[in-house]
Amino acid sequence: MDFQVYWAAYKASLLQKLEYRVDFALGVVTAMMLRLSQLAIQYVILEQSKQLMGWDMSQVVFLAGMTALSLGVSELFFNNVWMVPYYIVMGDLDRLLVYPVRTLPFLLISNPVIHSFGNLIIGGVLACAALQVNHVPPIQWLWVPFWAVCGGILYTAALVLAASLSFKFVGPYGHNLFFVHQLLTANQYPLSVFPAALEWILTLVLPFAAIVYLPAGWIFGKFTNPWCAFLAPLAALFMVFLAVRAWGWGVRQYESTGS
Amino acid sequence: MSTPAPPTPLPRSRGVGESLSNVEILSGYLALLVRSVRAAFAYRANTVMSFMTGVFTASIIWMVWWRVYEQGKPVGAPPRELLFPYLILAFCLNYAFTVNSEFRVAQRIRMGLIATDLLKPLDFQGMQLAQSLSDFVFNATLASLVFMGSSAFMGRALAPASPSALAFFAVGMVLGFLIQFGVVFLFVQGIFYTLNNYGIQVARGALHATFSGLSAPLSMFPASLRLVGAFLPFQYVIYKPVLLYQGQLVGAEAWRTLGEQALWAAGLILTGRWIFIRIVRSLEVQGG
Repeated sequence: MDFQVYWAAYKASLLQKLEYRVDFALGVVTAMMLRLSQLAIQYVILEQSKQLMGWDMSQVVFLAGMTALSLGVSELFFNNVWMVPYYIVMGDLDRLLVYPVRTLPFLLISNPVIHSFGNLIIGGVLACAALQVNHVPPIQWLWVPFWAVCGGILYTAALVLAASLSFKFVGPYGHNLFFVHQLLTANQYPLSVFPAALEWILTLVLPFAAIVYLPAGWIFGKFTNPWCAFLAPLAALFMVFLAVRAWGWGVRQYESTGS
Repeated sequence: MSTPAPPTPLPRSRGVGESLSNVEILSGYLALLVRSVRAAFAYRANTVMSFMTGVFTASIIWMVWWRVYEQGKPVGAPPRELLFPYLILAFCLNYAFTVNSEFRVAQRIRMGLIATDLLKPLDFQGMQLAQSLSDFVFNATLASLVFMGSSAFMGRALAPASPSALAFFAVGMVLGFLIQFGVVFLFVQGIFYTLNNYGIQVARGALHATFSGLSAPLSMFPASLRLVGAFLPFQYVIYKPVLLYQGQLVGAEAWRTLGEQALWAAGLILTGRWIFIRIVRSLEVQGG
């Protein structure tokens, strides 16, 4: 029953967004532009050094592709988490809290963004191109959508954790969420590039490594432990558990607005 | 029985069509600037978070470059002693020049409040410039913390190359800000059609991030990207002003850069104004 309600709300919202064709086209093109701009900087860096801690350009492109796919999945299904700080300031959360549904999943699915298709397209193209250049057997390509879905869920859970802080530190802008976003985009580079502390944070605290770096290392033969491929769903589930707990804590702090 | 006090005379109301004096216009912009700065400082926790995010975002690329140089200095690349001060200065300038016009205007268009802005007796572009200046004051204050902190570690490396380099940079920075404002105001015009800031903001952001020289000096770019960047105004916002500061552009080259900046600034601001005047004629204000 719950699932049907969520699905109906999600479908209605997505169809409404798709009606604005110019917005759709512009969103897709500009999301791709943003990814390509980041790729251009990676190109500049790898033009200078040819490889980064043993990763060549095509392998770094795979990291960029997987990051974009994780982002795209999250934006397509759970994007409304970005509105939480604004809803708290405006008191809009009151309306959601009295709905006869679970607040968190309903909030997450009720505002998909269509520029997500731009990230999904460019991410898919980059990841597939990198696998092709590296002669990865086609059967192993099936890992890509699996890791992307796990990545989208894990990233969303990390955003929910950050959004929960907005109940305590009230403000209309989602800078705390943007910090998490930047931690995800750091995964476009091999994590061994960064100082050990940051590498450990991205592996153990907010385990984005489990959805991008470790799987990529495994598929290109840099890491031989098969856990590198299977850690993604476990890390995603663990983060979802933490996110639900954090959201519950956050809602208990919520005081609504005076007006 | 006391006699009632005579009524306080009301200030003379402005007649219909009566325009503001130059002093009134300037004080109007100043009031807008001061209020915008105060509003920006109101949410302290958000401000700290925003600043930390900005520093972290920049530090990702610094850490990558650091590792690249640890692997061995790339052939033809500037020495480490020049690159890292460049990156710090580029970050500070970029952070100071971050303006939120797209977000602000989009919000006001969506809520229909743009009608109120257009009715105000102040020029719309001037109001946007005043608010962008407030963004600059606020962001430059925070960016100066990074500059001072980095100076403590890097010492002379972050100092201007010479007093004349500092003077060229000061002018270049003002012109760079005007170019940034001109570009943003031009892109803002697109929001009047799309009613949504996302695509517009991201498109500009992507071009700026690639071609402004924020993540690397343009001299390190492959020829193809450098060629594209040469036809765009973004390099005049960060790359060229930082080169002026570091004394890499001196004498006639420095004067030519300032001239090019002035031309870009004037061209962009006037083009934005020309487009805005035409857009307002066909603007449909969003209801309720």
